[in-house]
Amino acid sequence: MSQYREIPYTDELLSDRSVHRRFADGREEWRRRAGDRHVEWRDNFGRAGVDEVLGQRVIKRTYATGQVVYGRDQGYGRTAWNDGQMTINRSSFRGRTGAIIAAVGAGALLGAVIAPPLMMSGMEEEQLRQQAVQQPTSGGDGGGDDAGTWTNDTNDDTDDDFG
Amino acid sequence: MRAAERAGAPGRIRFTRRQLYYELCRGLRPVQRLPRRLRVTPRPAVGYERFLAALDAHGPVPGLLTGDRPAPVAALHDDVPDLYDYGLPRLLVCQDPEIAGMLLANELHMESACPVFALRDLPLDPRLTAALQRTPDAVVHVLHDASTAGYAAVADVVRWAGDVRVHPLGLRPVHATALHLCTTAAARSAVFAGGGLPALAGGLEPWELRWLGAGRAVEVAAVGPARLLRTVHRLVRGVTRNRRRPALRRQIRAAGFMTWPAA
Repeated sequence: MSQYREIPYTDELLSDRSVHRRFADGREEWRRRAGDRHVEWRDNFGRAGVDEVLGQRVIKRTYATGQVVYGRDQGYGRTAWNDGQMTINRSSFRGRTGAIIAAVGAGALLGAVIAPPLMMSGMEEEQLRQQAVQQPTSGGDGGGDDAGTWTNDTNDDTDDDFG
Repeated sequence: MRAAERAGAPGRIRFTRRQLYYELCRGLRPVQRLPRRLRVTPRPAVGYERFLAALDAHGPVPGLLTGDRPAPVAALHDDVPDLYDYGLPRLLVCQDPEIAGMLLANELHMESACPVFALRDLPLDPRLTAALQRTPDAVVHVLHDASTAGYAAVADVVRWAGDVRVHPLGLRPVHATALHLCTTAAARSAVFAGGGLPALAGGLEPWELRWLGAGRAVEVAAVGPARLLRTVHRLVRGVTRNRRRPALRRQIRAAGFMTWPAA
């Protein structure tokens, strides 16, 4: 883990649904969604590019200059990049500022960082994309109309709503 | 009548005669203490007629709603010209007018910002329908009995609502059995309308369909008044209490570089 330079950042959602991302090293990014799997960004150093989710938690960052960097999400907001950076998402999460930071601490204890790919051929990338399409990550919440919707609000005997 | 005290607890909930009746049955046969896995729905312990006679003999009960339902509130506000120019995110339709009256009497519509109507009030004021259609994610919630008639009511609401999303809150048989609610006294004699269940009963488990198909029925009134209010408040506002925390933890674990902040 020590081989990665840690760079925390925080996200701020702007009113037009785009995101202002501030990195601890002074870089600032303005990110805008472009479809389901792509995010376009510009930063305060005049650079721009596109991030793409490939699948298997691999992210491909393509700069406008054509340079490509790969990263791999490690969970708990941490992303390891093959240029030696470890970015850490420190945004408040659903109004709980401490939650993700505490979770990142827990995540650090989990140990081994799975290294991001150094290089990928176009075919390998396509393979990851196909896999991601075949197994969608979230199954939706499905309504949740099981018995729990009516029974879970109390313990059996107590009529206490604040439990 | 300790049942009346229990029905009103906590804190002066107003309840209907049928709710009091089911509360009495619960007092006589406390099956609700059984584990939820057992699919038990008891028969009522006393007949409804006997209960009504006893109620007459007892005299007034505090908290009991005797009238049908309060006068429509909308009429009072008709002097506000732009009332219907706003969007309306949700609306609740109750199969049973008495339950609709009970929810109104307990001011659910004020607290959860959700107008309450009975099935027989449909079709509603076209201005209300327009207000619903103006809101992108508007939902019509339906509170129905766990019976074939209940699912027929849902089908009615779907027909009326058109392209607005309809969300049946329950009772489903799975709710009724988990809570060990009393079956309706008249259910055994109710004629099962042989035409099969409305198409909407999709999404039910096979045993639930069999349960309904056997002509069983559980009324919404059989749910304890306090639990009913709490559950309806929660469901119309879309708060899922049991799933919230694991979901948050899962989301934090899944958070990464491409995560979009929620707010």
